[in-house]
Amino acid sequence: MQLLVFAKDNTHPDKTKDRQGCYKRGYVVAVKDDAHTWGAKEGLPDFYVLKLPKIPVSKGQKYNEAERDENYILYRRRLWTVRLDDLPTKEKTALNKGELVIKATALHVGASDTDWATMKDYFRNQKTGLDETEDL
Amino acid sequence: MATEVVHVVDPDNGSGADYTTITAWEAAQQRDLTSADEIAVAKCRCTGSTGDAISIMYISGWTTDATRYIKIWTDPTESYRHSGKWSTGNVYRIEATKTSSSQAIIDVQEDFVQFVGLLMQSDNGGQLHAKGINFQNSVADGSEFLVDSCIIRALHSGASSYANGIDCTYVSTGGNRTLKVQNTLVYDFSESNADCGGIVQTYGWNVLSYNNTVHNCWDGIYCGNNASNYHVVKNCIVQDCTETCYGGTFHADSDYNCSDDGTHPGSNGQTGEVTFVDEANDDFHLNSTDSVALGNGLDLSSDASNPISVDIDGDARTSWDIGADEFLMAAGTFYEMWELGQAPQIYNSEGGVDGAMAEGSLGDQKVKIFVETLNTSEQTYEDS
Repeated sequence: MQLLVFAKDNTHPDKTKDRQGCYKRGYVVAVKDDAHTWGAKEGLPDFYVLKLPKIPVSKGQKYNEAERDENYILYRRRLWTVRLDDLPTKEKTALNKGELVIKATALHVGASDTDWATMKDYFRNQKTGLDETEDL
Repeated sequence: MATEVVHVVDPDNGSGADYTTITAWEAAQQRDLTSADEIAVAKCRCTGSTGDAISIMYISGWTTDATRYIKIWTDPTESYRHSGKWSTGNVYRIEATKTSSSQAIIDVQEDFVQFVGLLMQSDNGGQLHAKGINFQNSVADGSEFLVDSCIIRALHSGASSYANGIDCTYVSTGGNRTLKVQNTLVYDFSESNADCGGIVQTYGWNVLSYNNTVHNCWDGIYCGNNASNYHVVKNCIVQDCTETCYGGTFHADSDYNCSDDGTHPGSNGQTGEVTFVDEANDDFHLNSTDSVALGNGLDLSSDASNPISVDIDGDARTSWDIGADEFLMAAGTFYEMWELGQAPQIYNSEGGVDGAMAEGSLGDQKVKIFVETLNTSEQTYEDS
């Protein structure tokens, strides 16, 4: 699968609308399969692509979900965020080229920039404040 | 005058594509349109055969006004718009599969948004309260929305109450938000428990529903508040609904509608089963043999509140049929005309009655007309 991740911070002067509606750096915007080709504007400076070969799209869907309150009202545009600015230098350097290939299964035998064991520590649940612990 | 900023959304990433999903467009383009003095336009294409697969699309975090708004559409001068029925292939369509309760295909939280010529599908994935387009109660008093020439269908399984095709969310503080729904088809929001509707208005909302077709919903078109607000319904078809075709008390201007249960508002309506081209396969274009909707609508071209002049296919309305579709004869086609107990009528090129074929009754004989050529200026035909 591939995760399209927002690379910048959108803002709104209304703090509630800013939290509810605006995409922030590190928010996943779309999840597509390995074969998907992205459009001309689905790259830098607006987006990064995180590639996780051989992982089904269904495994990434939760990172693309909004955070909603108990009445199903939108609370935050995304429950999860990728802490891009906290990534180790190696991953950050690779990402600055626009995409990062993450090995998340033994089924992927090609080249990669990093692995899921490293990267999952930078996927944070904004409601709990905890980083991901699960494997894909 | 505001500048239109147009970007192309194409799930197949064909030539000229900026984004491959509408959600990426919304994220990247999200901004204050009023200070930029811009209209944000997503021009949607489907150059291969791929649907735009999403779970939900929120429209939120923008600033809009009446002249600087958000428009998501298919350009009718291109080939990616539907032809008045659900289609695959090279037709842009949003295919939303819900992942949790109370999700819509599109959840609108901004004040001025237009949807034109879109196919939208709601697969509830077994979740409750799956909606089509949900207009949130957080939008401002005075906001305005348009749904024009869209098709919204449900593929729902299990019970999913409050699953409305087009839903205006109750506003506890009231006010006057305006939604115009025209030439739009909504069907199959019909889950096994109550309170699913095709087009639903409630407190805080004024809705104008013109020339829509609603089929197989729990309630077809609903007016939830007629004291402080209103729902005007003109030229609408509602058929095969579980509880009622038209629920609530509609505005007194509502007229020229039809239903199969007699609940349509207005004194110039029609009760009966509309004959569609292929109802079993969800082709709700009017059949030439229909006698309920054909030619029985009101001319809305000069309507004071919302003049319209074309149908869901973009065809000019001239004979004013009820529903989303305006029947048009096509050259090289046989049409069968039933007029039980009456002289069969000759229809003009736009489907309107052009005169009687013969004097007196012909009983229930079938008259077949072959349209060899169309001459819309003179409305004459070669027959066989």
